[in-house]
Amino acid sequence: MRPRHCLPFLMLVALTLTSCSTVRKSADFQKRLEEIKTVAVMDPDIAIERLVFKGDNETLYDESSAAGKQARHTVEEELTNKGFQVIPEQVIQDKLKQNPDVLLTLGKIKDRYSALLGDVQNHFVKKMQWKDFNLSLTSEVNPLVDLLETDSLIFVSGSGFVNSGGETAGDLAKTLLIGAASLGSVLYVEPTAGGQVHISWVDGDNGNLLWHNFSNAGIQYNFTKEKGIKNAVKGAIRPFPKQK
Amino acid sequence: MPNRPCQRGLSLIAAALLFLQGCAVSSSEIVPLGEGTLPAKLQQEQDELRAETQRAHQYYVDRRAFYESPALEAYLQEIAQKLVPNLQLDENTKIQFKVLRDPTLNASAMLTGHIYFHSGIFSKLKNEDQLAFVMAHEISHVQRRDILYYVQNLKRKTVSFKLADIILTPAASMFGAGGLSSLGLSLMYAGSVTGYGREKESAADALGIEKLLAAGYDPDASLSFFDDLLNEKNNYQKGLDIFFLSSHPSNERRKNEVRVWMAANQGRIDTLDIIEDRTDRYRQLTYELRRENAILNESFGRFYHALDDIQSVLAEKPSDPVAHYYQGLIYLHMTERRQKIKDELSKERWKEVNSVERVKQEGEWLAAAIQSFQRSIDLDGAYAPPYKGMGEYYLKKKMFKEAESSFKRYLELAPQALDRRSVQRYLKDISSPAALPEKL
Repeated sequence: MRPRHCLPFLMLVALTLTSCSTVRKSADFQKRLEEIKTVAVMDPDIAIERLVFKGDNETLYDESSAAGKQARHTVEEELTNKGFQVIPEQVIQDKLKQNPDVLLTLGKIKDRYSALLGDVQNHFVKKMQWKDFNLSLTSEVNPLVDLLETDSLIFVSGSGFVNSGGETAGDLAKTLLIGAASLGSVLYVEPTAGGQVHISWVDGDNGNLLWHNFSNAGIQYNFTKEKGIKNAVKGAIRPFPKQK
Repeated sequence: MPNRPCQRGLSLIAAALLFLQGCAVSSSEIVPLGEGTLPAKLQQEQDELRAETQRAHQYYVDRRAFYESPALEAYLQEIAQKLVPNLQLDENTKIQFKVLRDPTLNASAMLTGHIYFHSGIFSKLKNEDQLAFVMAHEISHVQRRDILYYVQNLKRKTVSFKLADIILTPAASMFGAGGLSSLGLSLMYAGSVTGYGREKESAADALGIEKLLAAGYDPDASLSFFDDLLNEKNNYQKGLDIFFLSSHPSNERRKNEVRVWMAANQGRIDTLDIIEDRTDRYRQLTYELRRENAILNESFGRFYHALDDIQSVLAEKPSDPVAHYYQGLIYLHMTERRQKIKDELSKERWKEVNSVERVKQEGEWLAAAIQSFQRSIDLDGAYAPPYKGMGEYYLKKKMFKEAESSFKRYLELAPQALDRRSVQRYLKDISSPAALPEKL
């Protein structure tokens, strides 16, 4: 198939994909939604990299940290609007600081969550039914939820990239070369920034992932900009239900 | 699909780029520690890498990612001192060890002298001599500043990869070969940048064995370690085990190189007085870590790794109730995440596992789980966790009465258990079993 003819087809595939729901719910989601009133948002893990043409990609620590803060703020705002009682960040920080053992547990849980995201991706790739969505961070979350006096936890994880000047120049060269090679029939454009955010709602009783969603990748979210991360997070949490 | 001339053209470009990649930083520019100064540019690179390492180290500290065991750290330090009497290699480089809670088979050496062992490596090592070999190998990387060489080369290779991307993509696009070229290049890229490279690894092996000999360790430990790794490779997919398993040059080749080196130095080896068998000491000081690593593997869904670990510690201490409980937990959770097992095992091993009828096999795993929990209780009736395991087993079997009594017993024995909330939830759910999810 010639590239020119590929484009409408690819657009159709993209549209079909985006019309599929990316939300996953556990079997006891409805039941727990009626019972759960409080939620604590764990420090979001957002990593942003600058793609550098001449060598190693550069992790943007300050921007990653700022994006994490913005992600937390957006999630908290959305959950409050949906009627949940959100445990304030300062309360979480203070309690964790005073309880290093629980902080250690949180580190382990976050590692487990990172590993679980692979399973979540599997779930989408293999088109499993919602009934099969039974992933868990296990009862290891119990000491954490007890300490924070919450019914549930929210985990946010994301990664983004921005192009450096050299990378952009490289992309431009590629665009021009493809244009020339195809005698102008193909307009090939690389994104200059992008990212994806995953949000999970976790049952404090048993660590089960009650609800999960992610923002669509490939859209031009620039996580170094407040608006970029905010829109990505909002996109992911929008389908989250209101508290009953 | 591309036509033939196009394929030939792409191959030529790829070959040219591969040739260009050969022109990397010269090894001779990077002098080992204590043997001269680095050129200014490399010195700056080294300072940046050191700062980066400190930052990463702090990140691990903040996340409490290190396995804390003063006894184990003292043990590692003691072995290191036999290998390198002065651990302060220069004013900015001091050999020091940390064990990361990570079940994968890995170890890494930083320019600051930090050597990070993943907990997973201790489960694969058999004795102190093997540990000393891995340690000596990593110390040699620090002394030779190999990571600096690696980073320099990575940068150059990244540039040529990106150039290739720009050159090949339009050609591929024009002839309708989109996707193929980028796939090919990714493989080329991955193949060329992983590891410190054959030469560096072989040099670190040779230096490592020199250190073993000088410290009175058995140099055969290196050969037996490679044998163990080769066995490992047959059983599992490579996945994250990037240390000796995939990023380093072929273990078979390295083993042969070590064998040749040993043959050339046989005279020295014959005079060696290997004092003692240090297997017991190694096992004793790493026992808890290896047992914890089993449950770490389990939490990552690496069930067969977890079983290997726990069965190995049970072979050492068959009357350890904690290990029996862990074994029960592994078997119990294996029934829930079969896909993980497929992802974990090598093709051949999975074929073997999958040849047994699924229901029958899961029944066997559940039976092994309940037996392990029962054995744990028999060994220590006051140890609460296996009661929770039994409760979960009975829930799976929909034997609610038995589940309830097990959970209650658990709470009686451990009223302040950190996970009591989950058990209370089970008890609440059991009181109205119709509300329980179909799949537990």
